[in-house]
Amino acid sequence: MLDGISIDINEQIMAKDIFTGRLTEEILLQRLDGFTPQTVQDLDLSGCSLRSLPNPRDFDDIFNDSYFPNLRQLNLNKNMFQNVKIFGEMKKLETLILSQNKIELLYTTSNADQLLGLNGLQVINLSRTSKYST
Amino acid sequence: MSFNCLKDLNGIQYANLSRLTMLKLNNNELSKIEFLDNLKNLKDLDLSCNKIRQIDQ
Repeated sequence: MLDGISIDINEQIMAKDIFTGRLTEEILLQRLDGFTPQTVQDLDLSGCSLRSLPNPRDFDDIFNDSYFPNLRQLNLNKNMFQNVKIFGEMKKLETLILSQNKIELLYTTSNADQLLGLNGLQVINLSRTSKYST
Repeated sequence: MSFNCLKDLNGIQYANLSRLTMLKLNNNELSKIEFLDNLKNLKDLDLSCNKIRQIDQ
C-alpha cells in the first residue's frame, strides 16, 4: 500500500516467511525443461533457495509419487533445507543430492518416517551441510 | 565455525536403504559413524573432512 508508512521489521519478516524459499510454478516450469512433473526423470532444483517451511505440507505435496511418478534423480544441491521431512514416497528415486543444504538432523521425533518412502535410493549425497549455504 | 551442520546419522537406521551403493557425507561434523551396518550394498562411502577420531571394529 502506497500510504507513505514505512514497513517495520516484523512485516519484513512476515513477508520473507510468505514469499521466500518456495518452489514457485515459474521455477518449476523452467527447471522441468519441457518435461511435465509426470514424465520428468531427472530434475535439477539446485540453487533455488528452497527451504523447509513452517507448513511442511508445502513440499510433502510435491516430492512424492503422485506428483513426480517417474523421478529417478533429484538434485537439491545449494538450497536451505534443514531436514529430510520433505519427502513422501518416491519408489523410483535412485539419486538424491542434498549437498550444501542446512541439514542438521536426519531424524526428528516429530516425524519418524522420513526417508522411509525412498526405498530405491542408490546414491545419497549429504556433503557440505551448512558450510557453503549462507 | 558453522553453527548447524550434520553431526550424527541418527535416523538413517529407520530407512530401508538396502539398495544404497554410494553415500557421500564429506565435509560435515560427524564424530561417529553409526547405523551403517544396514547398508548391505554400500560400495562407496565418503567420510572425508569430518570429526571422526576412531573407527571401531
